[in-house]
Order: sequence, then C-alpha cells, then structure tokens
Amino acid sequence: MHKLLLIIQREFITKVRSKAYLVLIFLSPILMIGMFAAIFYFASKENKENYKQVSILAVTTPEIAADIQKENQNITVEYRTVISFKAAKKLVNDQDLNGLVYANPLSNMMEIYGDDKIPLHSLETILEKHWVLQQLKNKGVKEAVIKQATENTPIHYSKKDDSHATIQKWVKGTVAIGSGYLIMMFVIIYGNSVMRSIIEEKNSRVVEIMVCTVKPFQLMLGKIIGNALAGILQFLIWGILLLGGLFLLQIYFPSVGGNSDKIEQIFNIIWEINYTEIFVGFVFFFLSGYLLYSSFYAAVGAAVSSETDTQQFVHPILLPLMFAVYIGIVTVINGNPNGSTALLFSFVPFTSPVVMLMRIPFGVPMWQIILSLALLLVSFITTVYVASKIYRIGILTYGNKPSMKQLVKWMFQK
Amino acid sequence: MQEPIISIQKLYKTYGTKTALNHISIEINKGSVYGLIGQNGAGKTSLIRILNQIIDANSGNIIFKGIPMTPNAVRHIGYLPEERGLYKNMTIEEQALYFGQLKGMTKTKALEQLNYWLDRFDITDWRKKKIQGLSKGMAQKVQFIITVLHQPDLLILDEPFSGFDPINANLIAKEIKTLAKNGTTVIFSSHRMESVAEMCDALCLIHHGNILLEGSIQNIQKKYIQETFEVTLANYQENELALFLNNAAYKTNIIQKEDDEIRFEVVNNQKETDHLLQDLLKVGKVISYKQHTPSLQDIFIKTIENA
Repeated sequence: MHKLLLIIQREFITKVRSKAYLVLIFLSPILMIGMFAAIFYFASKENKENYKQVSILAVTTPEIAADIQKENQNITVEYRTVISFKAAKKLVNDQDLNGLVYANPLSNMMEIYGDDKIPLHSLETILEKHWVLQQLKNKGVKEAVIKQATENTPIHYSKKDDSHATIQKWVKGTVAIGSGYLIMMFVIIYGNSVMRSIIEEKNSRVVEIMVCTVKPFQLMLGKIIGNALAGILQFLIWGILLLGGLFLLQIYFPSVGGNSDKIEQIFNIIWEINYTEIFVGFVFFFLSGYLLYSSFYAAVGAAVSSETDTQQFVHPILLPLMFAVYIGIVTVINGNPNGSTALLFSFVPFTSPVVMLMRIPFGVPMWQIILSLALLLVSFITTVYVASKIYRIGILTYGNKPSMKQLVKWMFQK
Repeated sequence: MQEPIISIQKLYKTYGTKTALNHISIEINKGSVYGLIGQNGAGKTSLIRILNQIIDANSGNIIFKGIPMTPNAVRHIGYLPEERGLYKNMTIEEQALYFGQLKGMTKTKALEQLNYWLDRFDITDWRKKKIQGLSKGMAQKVQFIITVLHQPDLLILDEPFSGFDPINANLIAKEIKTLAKNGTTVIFSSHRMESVAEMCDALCLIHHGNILLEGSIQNIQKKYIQETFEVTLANYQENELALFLNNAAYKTNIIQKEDDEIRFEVVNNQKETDHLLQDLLKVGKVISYKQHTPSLQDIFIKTIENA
C-alpha cells in the first residue's frame, strides 16, 4: 500500500507541475470561451444581416402600403403607384428584392409574389381586409359602419409566456451537453496521459528498475490513480473558475440593453441548478469511466514502443466514447433525456459515464445512478484484470508492435 | 566453509515451447563477486529477472539468506539492468528519495545515503540536476548510486560498465570491490571476459539454459590448463635440437630463432613433465619455461564450441 501511495504521489506531482497541465488548466478555458463567443457573435451578426435584407416592393394604394409598413416594421417597403405587374416583377428580380405586393382593390387584382422570407400571412390578411372593405363600399355600406366593424375589434391575442421553461430547458441542456462532452474530453486526455507515461517509462527503460521493486499491477494502478487525481483537481479548478466567472458576469452585466429581465431569468435558472449533484456525479462517473478506459490505454501503452504505433489500438477505444456523446446530445436536444434510448445507454458501461451525466441535470432516480455505477465498477475490475495481463508482459517486450492476436495470447500467458 | 547467501535449486523456466532455464542450480557465497556469462539468449536475463521477482519460474526453489525467497526479499536486492534509465524530469534527489522509499528506506535514511554517495563520487552539486541535463556517463553514475542506495545484501549488475569511460569504469569497479569486501554479494553479468576475470571470484557459464561451467575462476582455469609450455633456450646444439623436434613425445612449434637463442611452444604428450625438462636441458641452456594458462575468453569459446 505504501508503495502504491508513493507511485500515485509521483504520478500526480509529475503531472500537475508539467507545463502542459498548466496550459490545459488556464489557457484551455480562455480558448474555449473565446471560441464559443466567436460562434455566437458571428451567428447573431448573420441573423441581423438576414433580417435587414427583407424588402418588398408595394405597387398599391397608399392605405395598403401604409398597413404593410405598420404591421411589419422590420421590413423595408418600397412604394410605387404606376407600374405594370410585369415591370414590377422585373424590378423585384433586378434589384434583388424579396417580394412584391401588386394590389388594387378597384381593379380586382391582388397579387403577392416573393421568396420565403416575406411575411406572407401578414400580407394576405392585409389584402383580404382591403378587399372586403372595397366590396362593402361597393354594396353601399356606409363608411362609418365599415369603420366601426373593422376597427376596434374585440379580438385580443396574448402570447403564452413559456420563456422560463424554454430558458430552463436551454440552460439545463447546455449544462448536460457541456458536462457530457467534458467527461469524454477528460477520459481521452487523462487516458492518453497514462498511455504516454507508460511509453516514456518503457522507452527510458526505467520500467525494468520499477518492476523489480513493485508489482506491475501496482505500477499500473498507481499511474491510473495519480492521473485521475490530477484530472479531478483540474475539474475543481475549472468548476471554481466557471462559477466565479458567472458570478462576476452577473455583477458586472446586470442590465445591459432591453434584455435585462431575460438575463436575470437566465442567471436565476443557472443558480437553481444543483451543482453539488453535478459535481459529485462528475467525480463518480469520471472516475469510473476513466478507470474503465484508462486500463485499456495502459495496456496499449505497454504493448507498443512508440506513440506512433498507438493509433491502431486507440481508435477502437475512442469509438464508444464518441458514440455516447452523440447519443447524449441527440436525446437532450430532442427533449427526451429520460427516454428508453438514453436509459439503455446510461447503463451500458462504455457509454454510461457520458450519457448518465448528461441526464443528471434533468433529474435521475437514485437507483439508476447506483446501478449504473455498480455496472461500471464490475466492468472496471474485469478490464483492469485483462489490461494488467497485457501490461505485465508488454512493458518488458521491446521491438515490433504486437498484433491483436499476440495481445490475446499475452492475456492467457502465465 | 562459507554460508551461501543465495541458493538456486533446479530452476526451470519456459516461454511457450522454448526452454530458457533447464533445471539449473547455483550457490553463491556471501561477499563474493559471482560472474554470470553466456551468449545472448542463453538464459542470463531470465535468471536475473526471476531473482528480482519480475517473472516467475515454472519450478525450482530459491533460498535467500537461509529461507525461501519472499516478495519482501527485493528490499535486500539492488538491480542494475543492462537496459537502464531513470525518470528524465526528476532531479537526482527526487529519484533517490523515490526509489529509496520504494525499497523500504525512510526519507531521512535515503537522504543520508544519497549524501554519502554524492560525496564519495565528488558530485554534491548535482543534487538538484535533472537526468535530462546529464551526459550518458553522468547518468550511469547516478544509476549506480540509485542501485546501491538502500545498502542491498545482494547486488545484481548486468553489464555495469557499459556507457562508462575507462576512468569512471575503474571508479565503479573499485566501488563494487569495496562493497563486496564489506559483505555485499555481487552477481556480475557481462560479455566482457576481461572484466569478469578481473572482478569475479567465481563464475557460471550458461548456454541454452544449461550450465556448462561453474566454480571458482582458478579451478576453471586449472581444469582447462593444457600441457603446453613456452620455452626459450640459449646456446642450443643443432643436432640435439633436431632430435628433440623429431621426438614423438612432443609436438613443437618454433616461434622465434635468433643466433644462439630459440623460442618455441611445445605440447607435452607424455604424462610426466620432468622428462620434458630433462630433454630440454640436453638441447641447451633453459632461459625460460612457462606453462600456458588459457584465458577465460579461450575457455568460453572452446566450451561453447564443444557444447
């Protein structure tokens, strides 16, 4: 036990004081935030530009043109009086306008022409209203009666306020996808770190001295645990930085523009989330998922002599992890994080660390979490046993990279 | 009679269908320097790895310090492998503390021993240096310190002089001899016969997992000594020399002949050596008469060829 602790300590210290680790901790969040900010900035800029571009040529009466502009304040209405329909259509095409309203209630001609950006429903309603007005006038109905009937209608439309539910779904979805993605990243980064550390030990030949002092299994386990602790420390630092950042954002941007209510609502929902549960969930699922995958990474590291030889063996390890992220994202986006697909993959050991963590923000019964962790633990014990068999022989074998057949042979070699 | 520190009994090891060690038995006395020689793939590394408990034997026993070897015995063994290295990013002090503690030393004891060795090699200012900043020779010195830091009873050295320049090789050889003098038993594996001859008290030649030769170097050389003599005569008489050269009891090979002096190698086919000397005196005045002792290299090659 004392030896295992010494190995864990060495691995942990070596990892956390390396430059790569410091860069990963402090530079990566900045880069990631910068990347997301850039995506949001360009996406919103694109939206605004698209919105501004909607413009309509209105060859109609001043009343209809005025109504179109009144009902659709965000579009540009170019008003003309005397022009043929053919010429008007040509003008729309030549000037790259979005559409044309060619309407004169007196001449029984009401045409709408345009692409799918024009507010078709609104234009139809306006033309229909003016058509009816003209018909009534033609039938001799007094203007005052028409005015009374068409203006001040008792119809009132009020929008259902589901913004809280929408924002809540959006925030929880972001937290879920973010943490699932993070767990995948952590498993890959720290699994790779274990693999590289073993290859380095093998290449520098220090492994021969190590295995005459400690059992290969102890050495492998020490490496895996030491790296896991470095991973948890990184997650803690990132968690503190993220929550601190959000707290500062709330203080310094409390009421920017006209969206202050929405921002306040978003922050309220952010603080409503149970971070203790997510943190504990992350630690447990990261640990069990990482332990499961890192034993494979360790076996690969021991089997090969250089990093370039690892590709062939690492790909099969990455596939289930990526699959888990896709399954998680799809179920969260479809709004079905507790559906049968998500449920199934939150129990399959190779996908459960990612999928289950993505479900946690939406509320998962405790028995499901415990069952998922128990299955992961059983799988870890099996894989670490198999991996240690490969590791034990691989670390003392130099030269050509072994074939899959050879690895299987090592598993059963005494 | 000296008590053996380690007794290897009928050790048997196979890798699949290949036999690496074929029921070999060796006894090594405390404080001796024991040479392990053999070609590549002879079984030396397998034997060393079994002694270090890196791999297990199929059968056989190892008695260490009077009792069957336990996993704890590795605390009393220092191992310098042929393919060696240390952690590149750690300082010498960190490595010493790490390996010392893994071998069961306290931090204080490990530091105390490190100070002793750094001082002994006159490299106290290296303490905070990382291995990646050292030359190959310097790193080898540190490697030696790490191997002996925990004051092992048994030291297993595989090609200990590889990577050293002659001066540092000499320094390490001196330290190994001092350690042996102070009671440390050394197993010395090498291809370089001159090192084995210089360092070892006894040796064992392994070939295809079998022991071909075993015992003290003097006894082995005595066993292989030939009835070959190198003789120099002065004032010799030509007719007597011709008679000697034609004598069927001897096979003579002239090396040098100058004026009144002749040097030749003679193989005595008779049992008695007294007759040879008497016959030589008849030819001329005997200036030198030396029995030829074969080198370890010769014995090694001859034994392997005859195996």
